[in-house]
Amino acid sequence: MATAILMPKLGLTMTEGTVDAWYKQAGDSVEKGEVIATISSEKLTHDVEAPEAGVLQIVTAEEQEQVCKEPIGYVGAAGEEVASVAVPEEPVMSNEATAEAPIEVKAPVRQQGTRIFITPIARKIAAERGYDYTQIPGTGGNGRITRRDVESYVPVAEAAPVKAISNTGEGLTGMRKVIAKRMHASLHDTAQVTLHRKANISPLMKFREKMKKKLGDEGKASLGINVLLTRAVVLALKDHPEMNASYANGEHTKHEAIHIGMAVAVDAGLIVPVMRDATNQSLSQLADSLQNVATGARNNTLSSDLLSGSTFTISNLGHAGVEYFTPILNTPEIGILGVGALSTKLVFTKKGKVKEQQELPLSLTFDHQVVDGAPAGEFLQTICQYLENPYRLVF
Amino acid sequence: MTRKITFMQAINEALDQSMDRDNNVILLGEDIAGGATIDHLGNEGAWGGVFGVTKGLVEKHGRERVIDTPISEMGYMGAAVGAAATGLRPVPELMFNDFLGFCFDTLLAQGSKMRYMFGGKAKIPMTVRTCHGAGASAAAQHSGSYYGMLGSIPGIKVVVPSNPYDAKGLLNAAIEDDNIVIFSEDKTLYGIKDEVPEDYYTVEIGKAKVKREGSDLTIVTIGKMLYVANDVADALEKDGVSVEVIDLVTAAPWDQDTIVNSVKKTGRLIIIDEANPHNNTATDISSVVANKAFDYLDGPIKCVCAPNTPVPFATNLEQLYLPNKEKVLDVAAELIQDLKKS
Amino acid sequence: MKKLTKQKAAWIYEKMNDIRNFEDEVHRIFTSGEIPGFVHLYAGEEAVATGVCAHLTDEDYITSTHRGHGHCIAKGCDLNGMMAEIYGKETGLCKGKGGSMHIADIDKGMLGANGMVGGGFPIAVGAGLRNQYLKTDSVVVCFFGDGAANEGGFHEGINMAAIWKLPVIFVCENNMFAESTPQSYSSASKTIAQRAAAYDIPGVKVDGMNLKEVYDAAGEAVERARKGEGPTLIECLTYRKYGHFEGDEQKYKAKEGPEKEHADTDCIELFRKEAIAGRLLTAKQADDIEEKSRQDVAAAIKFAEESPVPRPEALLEDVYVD
Repeated sequence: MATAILMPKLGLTMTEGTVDAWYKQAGDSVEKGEVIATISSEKLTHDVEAPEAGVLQIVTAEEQEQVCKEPIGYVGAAGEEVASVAVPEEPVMSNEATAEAPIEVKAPVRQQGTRIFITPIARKIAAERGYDYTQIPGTGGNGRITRRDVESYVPVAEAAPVKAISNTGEGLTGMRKVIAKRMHASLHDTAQVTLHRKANISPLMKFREKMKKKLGDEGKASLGINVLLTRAVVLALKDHPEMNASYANGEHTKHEAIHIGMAVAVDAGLIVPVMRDATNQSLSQLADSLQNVATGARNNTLSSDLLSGSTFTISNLGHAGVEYFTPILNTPEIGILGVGALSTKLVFTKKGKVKEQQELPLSLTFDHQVVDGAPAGEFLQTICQYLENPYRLVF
Repeated sequence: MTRKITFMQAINEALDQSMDRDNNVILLGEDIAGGATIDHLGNEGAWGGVFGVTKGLVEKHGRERVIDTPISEMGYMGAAVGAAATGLRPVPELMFNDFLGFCFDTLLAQGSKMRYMFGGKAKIPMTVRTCHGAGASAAAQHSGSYYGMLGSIPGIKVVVPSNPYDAKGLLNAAIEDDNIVIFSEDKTLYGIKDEVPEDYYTVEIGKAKVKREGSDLTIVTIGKMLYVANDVADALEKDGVSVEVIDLVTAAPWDQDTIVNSVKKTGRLIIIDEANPHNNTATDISSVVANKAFDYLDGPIKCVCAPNTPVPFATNLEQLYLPNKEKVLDVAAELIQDLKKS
Repeated sequence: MKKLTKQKAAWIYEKMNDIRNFEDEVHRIFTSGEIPGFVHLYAGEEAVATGVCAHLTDEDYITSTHRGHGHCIAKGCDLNGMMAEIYGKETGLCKGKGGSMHIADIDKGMLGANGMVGGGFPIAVGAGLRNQYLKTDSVVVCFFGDGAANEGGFHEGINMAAIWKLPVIFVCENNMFAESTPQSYSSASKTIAQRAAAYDIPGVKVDGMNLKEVYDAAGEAVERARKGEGPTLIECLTYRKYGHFEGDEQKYKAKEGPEKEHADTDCIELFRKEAIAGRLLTAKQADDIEEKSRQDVAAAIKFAEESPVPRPEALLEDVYVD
């Protein structure tokens, strides 16, 4: 009997994936454990291994999508008729059949094709809020969707903007397609403004030297510029909770916890691994987190849980010599900090002497829909103040 | 000054005070005084109506104004129409609303249509007192509820009081009204007592009363059904369901604004009407609300009515016939299923 | 009892002619299709309405029947308003909303033609009760047909009027047919008048083609009523010139015999002859009345034709007193 090769489900929010490439042709013999295909989801790419030894049958062609846990192919004996074995006649393509609802499931998930009952007021409110009511569980009599069901419904945050611009990203696949949709949706749905300012980090650099000498190799990692910068951002976010927020579906939500997303370039594109609960992490803990996510991202070993859920994002293009730029919001977040290349400038002291100063160019993009320029500027200033008074970073 | 008096006393008092105020008010009906022309009785009534509602009125106002009629429902009801058309303000009593068949022409084809047929030149200021309602073991021909049937006739107003205060105020208002008003009394309420002002006052016809405010479910009641709704509201309140109870007061033309606005607030509606289930006031309310508040409905409109049968005699069957708390809770369950979860 | 004066005779002759001309014209126009609905014509029975109403004032009431044009005219309703009403015009007595079967003019004491056969009995009793209660000497005349005599309301109404001695005169216009069914078939009693015995009230049968007989009987009954002596039942044997309604083939009418002789009697011609003979009218006077009546009816038709139809909003008006 043939064994199905399933589209893997990598993380809670993954509902479908794209077959990027088959490394074997249909009819080829494969060994158990041999990498036979690569699939990609919104967040990552993944190699698929043959579950058994045998002859490969392909169900999902390259660049086509398949719902998670549904077969993309089979491995069986030579000549075995597999098409009839386990393939559903009509693969269920809509995600309502398999998606795990992000909120507590109150009613049995509807069978596809069954009629949906919804009360007139519930239908009206769903329309006003732009909800797709087919996604809302009904808890009223006869399973009908009531006003309360609509009002307590929390739409899947990631799903909504992607649906709204379904034409964007056409012709692209996998992570590229996701990035395309995300970036387009971000610019389409927000009012982005970018503020630029430099931080004088000469004191910070001196502080680093001192600390390095004191701590030796042990503390080296903790004193990376990204770690210090992250710490400064975390502290500034604690001072300005309105920036640690999201804005989606008409609601501006300030978050208690601070999860910092760190944009990381990978071969396939760009991902934003998350350092969760950064609020109270010490410099060394932050350093560990940063190390973990960066390595995991490059090696494609991060679970998808660590690829979403950030509340503020940092993007560093300094390694390429970029100074200022306009980072695009990682929606629904309302702020992203762009970090440029460190440079050394000559400046005049108050007494009129010339002095060397190390400067870090910072670019803060914020969503003007919910935050105005002045508070955003103050937030950026607070980041600079932490960087310019480095001892505050350790307390 | 108010004091506790019965529903029946409240009606009697309204008749008495209305007769004091307006000499054109006369009462007509079978045995409403009783013992007419019996020498030894003179102006003393033998009965004061079959339930005693009009007791004492003939002694005070005389047999010229409290007129015992032969058992001729068409005759005296039509006479009331004729007297009203020519300037009096008669208050005929139809002993049981089940006798409507005998006098229907005078209301259906004569009184209700005169003003319209005559190009606005006539007015028929008369109040028909009658009684309805099961629960008194009076069986099929003395227990029906036909206010809805009468209410479907243009030109007729129908009021159904639920308590002594409303009974007095509504009857006064009905007698003052220049239209035919059917004042339908639930015979099983005659004994209930409540605070009623001694002085003359009126209760507005055409205005429903919100007896209890709530946000989750509207229950509209007619007459006695108010008490069923109150029990239901108490029970549901314990489950955290907030019920708005509205006494319709006037069954026709009924107060659309109050009902529709309530449903816009709560999204759910149950109507309790003791009438048979088809073509009654409840179905009419249901139809209007479905039209005027469709986009606010958060569930189907439910009517709790009597079954499509005459009123049975056997006590147990008669109790089964009437709408009650359990029947209403039963239909409410579906409507509030989503509320009870949280 | 009031003797028929010259003045009253002229009034009666005028009203008789008005009724005849009005109905003949309605018959003619209805056939041309300009009048909608059902029309029941009074022509032929003029002696009854006029002979009775000659005793009434505007303070007295009448209830009428579906064959009510004659009662209206005899009770003083305006010809223009009546014709406009039959045309369904806004200037009609009922603003065009009643029509032929519901012409009413309460100011004139006319409580309405009535589409319900027998519908007038209890209403007349109510008006009589009102007259008695308010201690007026006004009376009520309840016109009804031989068909209505077999409705329950006949019994209830006359019985109540009798026990309370109400000032109501019940005038039966026995035109021999209830629609197409003969009175001899549908009534167990040979006459309607004899039923009065059951209520212990006077009951008389008169020749309804003879104005004088009707006038005298009604005069006596009205006088009794005004004096508080209670109701009277008068049966007037009459005949309708046209059918039950316009369009009736009248197959039931006799072609010969006593019914045919009765039918061929014209109460207006008869009254003209007798009035002139009795020196109540001159021929010249009678001619003038006839001519004026024709002109008045022609004017009424012109008025009705030229009047506007009701405003659309009138549909919803006057259902209730606001």
